[in-house]
Amino acid sequence: MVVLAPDRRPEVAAVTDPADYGGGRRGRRWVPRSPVIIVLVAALVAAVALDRTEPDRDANAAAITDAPAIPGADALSVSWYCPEGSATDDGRADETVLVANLGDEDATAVVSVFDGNDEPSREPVDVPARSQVDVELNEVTDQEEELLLDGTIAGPGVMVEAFGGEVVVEHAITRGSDFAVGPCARGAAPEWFFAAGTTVRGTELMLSLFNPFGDDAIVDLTFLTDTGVQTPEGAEALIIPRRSRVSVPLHALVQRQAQVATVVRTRTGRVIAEQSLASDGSEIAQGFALSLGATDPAQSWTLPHGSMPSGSTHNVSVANFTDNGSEAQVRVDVDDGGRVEPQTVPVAARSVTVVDVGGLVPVDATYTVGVRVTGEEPVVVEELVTSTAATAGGLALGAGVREPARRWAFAGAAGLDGDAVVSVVNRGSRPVTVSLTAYASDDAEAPDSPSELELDVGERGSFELGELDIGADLVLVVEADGPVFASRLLSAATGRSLDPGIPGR
Amino acid sequence: MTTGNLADGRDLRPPEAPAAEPRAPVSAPPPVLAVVVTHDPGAWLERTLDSLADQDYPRLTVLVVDVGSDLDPTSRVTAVLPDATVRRVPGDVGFGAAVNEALDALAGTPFLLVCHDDVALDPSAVRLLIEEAYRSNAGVVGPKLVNADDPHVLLEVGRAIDRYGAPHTGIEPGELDQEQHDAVRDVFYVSSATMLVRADLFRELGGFDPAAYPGTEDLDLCWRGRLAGARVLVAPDARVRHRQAASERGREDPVTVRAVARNRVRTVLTCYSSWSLVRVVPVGLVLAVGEAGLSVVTRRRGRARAALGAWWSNLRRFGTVRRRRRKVQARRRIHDSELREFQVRGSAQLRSYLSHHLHTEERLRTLGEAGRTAVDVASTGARQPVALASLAVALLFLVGSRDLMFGGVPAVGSLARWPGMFDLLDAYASGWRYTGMGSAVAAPPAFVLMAGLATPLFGAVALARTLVVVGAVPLGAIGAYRFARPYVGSPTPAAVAAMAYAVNPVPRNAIAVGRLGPLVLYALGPFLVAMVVRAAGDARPSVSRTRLYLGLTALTAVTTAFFGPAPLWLLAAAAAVLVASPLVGGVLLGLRMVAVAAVASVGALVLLFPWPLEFPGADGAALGFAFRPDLGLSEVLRFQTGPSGAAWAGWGLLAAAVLALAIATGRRLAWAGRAWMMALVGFAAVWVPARFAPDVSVPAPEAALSLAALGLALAIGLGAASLLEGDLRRYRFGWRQPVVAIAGVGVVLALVGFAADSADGRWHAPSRDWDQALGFLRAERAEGGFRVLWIGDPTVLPLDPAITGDGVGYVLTRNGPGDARELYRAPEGDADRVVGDAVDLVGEQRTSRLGHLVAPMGVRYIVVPNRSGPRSETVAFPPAGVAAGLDDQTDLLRLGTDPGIVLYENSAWAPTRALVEGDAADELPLESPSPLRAALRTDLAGSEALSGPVTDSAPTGPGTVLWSEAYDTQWEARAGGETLDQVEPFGLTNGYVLPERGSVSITFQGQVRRYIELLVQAALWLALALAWWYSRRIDDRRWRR
Repeated sequence: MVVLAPDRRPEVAAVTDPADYGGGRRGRRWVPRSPVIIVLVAALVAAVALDRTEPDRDANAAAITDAPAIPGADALSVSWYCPEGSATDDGRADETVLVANLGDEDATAVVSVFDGNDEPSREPVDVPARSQVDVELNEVTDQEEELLLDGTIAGPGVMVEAFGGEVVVEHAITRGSDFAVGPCARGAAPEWFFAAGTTVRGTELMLSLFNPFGDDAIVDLTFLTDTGVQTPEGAEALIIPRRSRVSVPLHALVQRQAQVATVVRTRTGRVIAEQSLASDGSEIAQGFALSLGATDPAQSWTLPHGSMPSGSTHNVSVANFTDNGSEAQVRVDVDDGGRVEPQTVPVAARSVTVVDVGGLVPVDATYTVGVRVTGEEPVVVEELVTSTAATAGGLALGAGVREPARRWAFAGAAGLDGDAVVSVVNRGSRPVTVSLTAYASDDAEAPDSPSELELDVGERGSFELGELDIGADLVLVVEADGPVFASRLLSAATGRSLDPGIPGR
Repeated sequence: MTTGNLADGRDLRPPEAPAAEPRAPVSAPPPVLAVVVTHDPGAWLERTLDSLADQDYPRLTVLVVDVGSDLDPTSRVTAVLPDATVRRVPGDVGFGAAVNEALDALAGTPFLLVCHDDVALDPSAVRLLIEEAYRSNAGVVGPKLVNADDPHVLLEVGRAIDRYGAPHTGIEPGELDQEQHDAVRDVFYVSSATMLVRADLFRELGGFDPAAYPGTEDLDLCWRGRLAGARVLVAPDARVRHRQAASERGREDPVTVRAVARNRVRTVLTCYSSWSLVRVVPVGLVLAVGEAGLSVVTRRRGRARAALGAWWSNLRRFGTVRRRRRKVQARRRIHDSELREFQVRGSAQLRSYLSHHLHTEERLRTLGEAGRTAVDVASTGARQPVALASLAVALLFLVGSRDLMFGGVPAVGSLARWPGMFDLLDAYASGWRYTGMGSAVAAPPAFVLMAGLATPLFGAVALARTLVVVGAVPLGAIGAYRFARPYVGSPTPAAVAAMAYAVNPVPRNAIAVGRLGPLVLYALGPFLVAMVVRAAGDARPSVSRTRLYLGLTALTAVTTAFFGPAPLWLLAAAAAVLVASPLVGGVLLGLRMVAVAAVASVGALVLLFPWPLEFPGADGAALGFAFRPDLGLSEVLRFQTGPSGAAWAGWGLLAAAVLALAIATGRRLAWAGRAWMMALVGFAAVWVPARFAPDVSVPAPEAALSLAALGLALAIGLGAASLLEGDLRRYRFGWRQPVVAIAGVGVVLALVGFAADSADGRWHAPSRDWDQALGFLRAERAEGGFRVLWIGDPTVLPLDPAITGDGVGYVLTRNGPGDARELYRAPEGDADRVVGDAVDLVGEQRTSRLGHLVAPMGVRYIVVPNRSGPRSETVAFPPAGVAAGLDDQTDLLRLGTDPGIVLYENSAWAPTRALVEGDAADELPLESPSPLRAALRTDLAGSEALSGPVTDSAPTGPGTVLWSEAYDTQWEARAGGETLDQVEPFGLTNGYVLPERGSVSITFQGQVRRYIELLVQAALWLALALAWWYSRRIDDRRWRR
């Protein structure tokens, strides 16, 4: 029964039944309405306010990418895949696998060469702590590359399984007098992107697709060229048989194009893709270059090493593989403080925009290039450096770097008789101290006093290995107390190579 | 049996009647003997006799048979009918036996008129009945029965039955007589209130069957007459007023209800042909179970007992029934099919129930509620929409569930396929749990409950599973109705609460994403909370408090068996009431509820012994804490944990629930506050972890949201009650009136959302499941037993996943996609943790040899789903690191299969029972402290599967036999009568050194302990049942006093 005072509206009402209150209390009790409503509204408002901020999820969950990275010291087994290369002396791309152990524990590894036989040729190697092992492919197999009926080339692909330790793997390719060094891949990916490439006269652009797994893969290739998107018949539904490597001569599929950006998409199966570019000097500088593809487009890219000696060109290719147009800002930071206005360039859908960075900076300048997407769609960035200089001439492909890291590794450059420069850029928000440590395969002890650099915000620094009396063929580890970008330029009388390095996590 | 003395010593038999009963000429009306049966007659007896005295039929003789009346009615009879004869029969022999007393007096009398003592015949009734009997050559003729107090109200004009013997009059309650049924027609039977029977037929049939008393004497007689070829007619021109005094004499007591149900079944069993019984009995049994279930939830337990006891009682009297049946069938002259036209399709009881409830308003009106206020009239107007809306929701539910009911429930999430009853019982009785890597722990009691559900369905486990899933919504709605009923005051707002609970997206999402435990919790939760509240003393319990506690404990145990965190849910519900007490009062109620919930939870855990003994120290995922829902506040408030609840419709329930806070007063306002607090607790239990601790695992969100759904449903019911009771009338026009409109729109939105979800017929559950898509895996067992490792987001994994530290879920199934025996995973043991470590290594890209790592566990296939089923709307991708890491494994072959899943075959696998020979056996790493490192470089691909039963393999060896269950010394292997030396390959599994060729028998030695545990558990349940029975007896004694 509800009892109301005649002159009062029932903001509160009477309860006559003691059980109404559940507490069994005698007498009349009022049930106030306002506190209930106030509490509920307050709870709702507080929840809405708190819900606007993002929850703090485990940051480690997002750190995994398909890009190669230094494995953790607690890794049980890690596989590295090196698609490009051949196993014969003086072949198309003579390959040496560089296995470096950065950790304090000895490790073992098995170098398996998938050379077309049912079972790969295997070479077990011991990799002592903080040392490097070189394996020349022709010591493992004598299988030559084979030209197939469809114009592709079957050749050896290399898988290195490392058991224990922080083992990183790179491979060095020599072709004639030129050379290139680059990291091997840590895994397969559904898509591989290459922003830079050319098939002008005198060049040989080769795409190597490696399938070390037990199931066949089928891939499609698409090219963004000067004349638009090309999907030649021979580039569709390419079968990459299980445990094999196939190299596709892109210069035969997409002829005489100044710019060729390539995307590899797998329909089924898994592959690793790597691209090499060779030039006889007809139109661009003679030389040989190597580039591991990117597995994802991104919003921001950094090219840590920029130098513009006389006779050089430096082109940065910004490729948009999506169906929507985008826009990117290319920023060049010259080391001596010289100012270069950032350039905002449109990148049309499924096209490549090439920025001649070399034309923006003075001769002999050193600099860093950053590319940041200001449009809607992410892009892939890669650089092509050519040099016709008498010393350190040649060409080099350099993949852009997406994420900074506190640690970078370079597995070495076997047999290189030249010089090396490791460039480090601090794109963080505070100054960092960077050190460089070099390990020799015959000396498990690190140098007593690693070289150090202090880098302000936005500053770039270099370790000139020649000046530091460090051999260019040594294992190099860059460590910083903040996230940095690093890359290595190897140069010799016969050529040059740009190597983005392997980041740690 | 009867003394059979005429009251005045006269011979009833007419002196001129010849023995051969010659038919009287039409010009000379045949004599009729009217038999009036009395038992403690009331004041209406004189009216009955008066009406007989007033008949315009000249040759009517009246015999009054008095059955065990305390007072001799002779003087009352002779006062009205001086020529009537009175025969007194001691004891309550029943109506039929009493009428049979007239058999000896029928000689020479061609017609017998049977009358109750509470009827009043129109003066022409007997004449009209006789005329119709002659005109139609009928064996039995009945009149039109109308209400004694209001002759304009029809009671019946002949009766039909359904296939299961339940009567059906075709007359709606309160239907007025407008001569709409006034046509002479054949009917299945007529009421014994007044029926004219040809004497020769009555004699041939042996009169009424005394055993059909009470309730079915008339049906039994007419059915037998029909079988003998006689016609049964109703002559509506003959009108009889009937007081239906039996109900006033307390004939609706439970004993009579049970007897009527029993006799109905007896009549069905005796009158149908054998072939008809084959079809009728199974369906009748199912209907009885359904009726019992419905009666239990509507708190009519007497009827529930009657429905089930009817069949059981006749089963116990099988011999008697069979003898009676022989007699009846011996007189059969027609086929059952000829009677079909007089029977109604479907269930007459269901029709009666619906008719009864759909005409509540009319009945209420007849009770003189015409003087309501204008507000009352408006409120009444609202009741009809509620009835219609309830009906619409029920129909939509049936439409929305059509594919699930007829196509089966997909095996999604924990809605796994249920194996056969005996497989379930076998898994329950086994001392070794075959989940994950296996462990010597107790099996979950849910297996027994699953088998128990299938038992009345003759072992149809798939049907039982479908009923559990589809039945959760109506059962939950009934529970919400019962929970809300004491606080909302009348059935209509309680129905609104039930409807609000039914249309909540929670159960639909639980079905879509496959959550068995939360679905059971949704269905039983309202009952639990209602019982807790009653046990805490806030509402009057319908049974004693002891029985209430026992029932609550048992129901909590059942719920916990299906959903481990159920006790926490119950405590949260009770705690919500306590938390609300500073705002709306009821501190003591809250405290008592918490205490009751705690006691019930403890009791439930005791009843589930020994299963809960595994809880302490178990990994959270084994207890259901396996999910990390990525839900924002909006999704939580709209209950959108799956495909249902999207868009604006999801806000409807929240809007509707505000009404109670705006206009309710007093007790309803207090409970509205508590209901909202329940909702807040439910919402917070999902949203707070998702927002502030996204890396902490919690139970499936549908569970906590069931509490929120229940709170909102109660609040909506309270709002409806306040509206119907006119609370709004007390306020001036202001903000409350728009709130009413908003609440109305909210309800409509919720109904629209419900209707939209019903379109696909399966509540967004996938039409296929991985069990079908990967069914081919079962055939692979021919190459040796194996496991399947499922990796992915726990949301889309089947069964009950374990989770790694990064929240990646994984499940091990055996020899295929798995079934319900692998539900309720045993807590992680050391061997299981190794699997989790391997998954972690993949996710962190710290291995490229997962195949080798899991080879000792017999893992042959690795399945990575990103949907809960093929083309499912529930999508959740595994972490990028896991997907990429799996693609990088060099020993896994990627196989082609349905979109939504990635299937790998492990090229390094070894069968779960395998032999390793030669050097490989010597090089097996034993008792390794690091199983994964030991497995990394061990090649088991060359091992040979053992064929034959586990307890008797085909001859094999010598070598080392691998048995990839978790290492346990209770596993024993024998060969050639000798026990084999046990080793621990990889520090993980079991191995046995087989020195020479022979058959290997592997057995588990811990079975005896399990049997003892089962006995203890059975004793606990028996003790509960005895306590219940004893308490009930005490209640009955109190009731009788």
